Amino acid sequence: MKNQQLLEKMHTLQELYGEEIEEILSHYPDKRSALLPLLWLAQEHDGWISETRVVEIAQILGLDPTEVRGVGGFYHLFYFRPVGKHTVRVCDDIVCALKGADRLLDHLCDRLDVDVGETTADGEFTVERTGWCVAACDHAPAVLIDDVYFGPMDEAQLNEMLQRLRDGWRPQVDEGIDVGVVKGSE
Amino acid sequence: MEEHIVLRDLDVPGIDDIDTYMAHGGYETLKRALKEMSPEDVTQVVAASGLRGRGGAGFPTGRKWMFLPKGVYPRYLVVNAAEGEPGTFKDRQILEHNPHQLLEGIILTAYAIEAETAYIYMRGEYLKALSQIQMAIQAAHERGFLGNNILGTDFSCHVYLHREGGAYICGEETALLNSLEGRLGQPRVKPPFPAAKGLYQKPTIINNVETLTNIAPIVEKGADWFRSFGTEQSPGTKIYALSGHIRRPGNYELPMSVTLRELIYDYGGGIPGDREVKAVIPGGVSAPALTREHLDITMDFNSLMEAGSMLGSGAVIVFDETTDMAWAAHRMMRFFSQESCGKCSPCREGTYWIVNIMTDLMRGTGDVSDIALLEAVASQIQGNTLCPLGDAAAGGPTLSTLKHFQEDYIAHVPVISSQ
Repeated sequence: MKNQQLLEKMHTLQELYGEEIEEILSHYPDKRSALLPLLWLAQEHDGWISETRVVEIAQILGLDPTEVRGVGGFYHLFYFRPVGKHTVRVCDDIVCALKGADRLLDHLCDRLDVDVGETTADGEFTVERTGWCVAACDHAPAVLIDDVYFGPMDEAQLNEMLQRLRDGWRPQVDEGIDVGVVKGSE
Repeated sequence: MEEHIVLRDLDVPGIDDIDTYMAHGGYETLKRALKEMSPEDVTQVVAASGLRGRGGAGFPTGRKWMFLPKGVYPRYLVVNAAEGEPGTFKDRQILEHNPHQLLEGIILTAYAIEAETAYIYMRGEYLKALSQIQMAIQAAHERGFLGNNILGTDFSCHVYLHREGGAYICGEETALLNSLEGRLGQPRVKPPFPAAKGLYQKPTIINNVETLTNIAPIVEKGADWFRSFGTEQSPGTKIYALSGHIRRPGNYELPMSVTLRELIYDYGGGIPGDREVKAVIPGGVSAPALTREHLDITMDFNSLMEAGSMLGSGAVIVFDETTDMAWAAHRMMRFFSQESCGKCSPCREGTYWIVNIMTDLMRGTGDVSDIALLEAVASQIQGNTLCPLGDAAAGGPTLSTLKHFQEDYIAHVPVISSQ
């Protein structure tokens, strides 16, 4: 398994996704437009974007790596550092904050013994606060677990989900909330 | 409201499937328009309908299309699906549940403005919406509604999905264009406006998801039908995304003649614990806060502007009587400070200092003079930035809460005992 991962890491994006890259580039008259799509491709594969990937993307686009890194760093959703096996992101913008997001975030940090932005010592979880609205205000407070939306979330549900994640659960998009669909709540 | 115009998923289960969509008349309007109408005809119907942009600015859609310079090609259509205004989750429901009606609107609009390429610039977190739209594009291709020579005509249209990277500012149309070009998502100086020089310096129309989802019904049923909903200046329906202290949060599509009181009490079920309203933000956090005195206001573009606020994205956030509005302003300003793109110093520095001053107040280390200082900093941002983010931060959370809820700020000023 480990060897397999090492072996795979040696493959370039071009080797792994040659056709996809070709397809992406064909969408735009200027290939520079493929910058964000290629950053996504790298992050979806590796979980984050390493310097090696930045250099590869720069080569594909004919840009300087500094430019790829600089533009990429403007956006919040790209990780330019390794993250845990699971990411847990608590929305703490105004509507979620009204519904107790700060308490939830404190609880999460206590429970996992990390500060916001850190990864647990066992490499399982990275905890983040979004600082911006994730557009699930009808399910506030919302939490994104491995990019899947859950809410309204309380401490007990969060504990349970952390345990399920440790037991090998990988949340699927369809397990998340159905946003916007009017429902009763008090 | 009997039937929904844009949230038709609430009336027709499974309308995200192309067969179901077509069984309910889907793509018939496109077929008819390509056969019987010229691009100008489509533009004229949309202009006559009085449809105004649903992304925040409320600019008349038909008039925007008419700004395109004659004879300059290629032209681009860019779909703004970078929904990021705090409190807003309306486009998301369309994208996830009614993708084909959006897509039919995109193709009709591309036909009207003579664009052969459309990009859907979508929020990076919207995994379900990304996959729904990608599947819808694929299905429309297979049926011949997209691609080269659509339905045997000489009109060709290709739609591409572009996943953005996470930056509120990229909802601003010129920042969006820079981002789509692979650059920093910072706003451009206007003019030139995107209609003249937009994506790749070519004529470009940027429309919001909800706006475009209105197009097929308008072309199908006509301008008069559309004008039978809402008000003279704000025809049609609007999705109000209701959240905060409310019993039934969610998206409500209603004619723009609904009042704030009806929205909160008749549709939203009122406030938990039967508490009183303290404040309402009627159009996302960029919109200045209103008070319970404003509850009988009609939720249309003009009435909200006259009341000193704005309809914005239609995100209605309710704050009950227990809310500390100084705390709420601090939280909203933290967002604006984080999301300021850094291009204009009044916004970059101003939002940073407003957060610092508010943080002092929250920690109990502020001073009564901070209230005047906040007003001064906010008023120096206003009017001095390229895009509306700075103005929104100043006029929205900062000045509107200082105006209506100053006592909440004063409550944070430490009491100094006199000697």
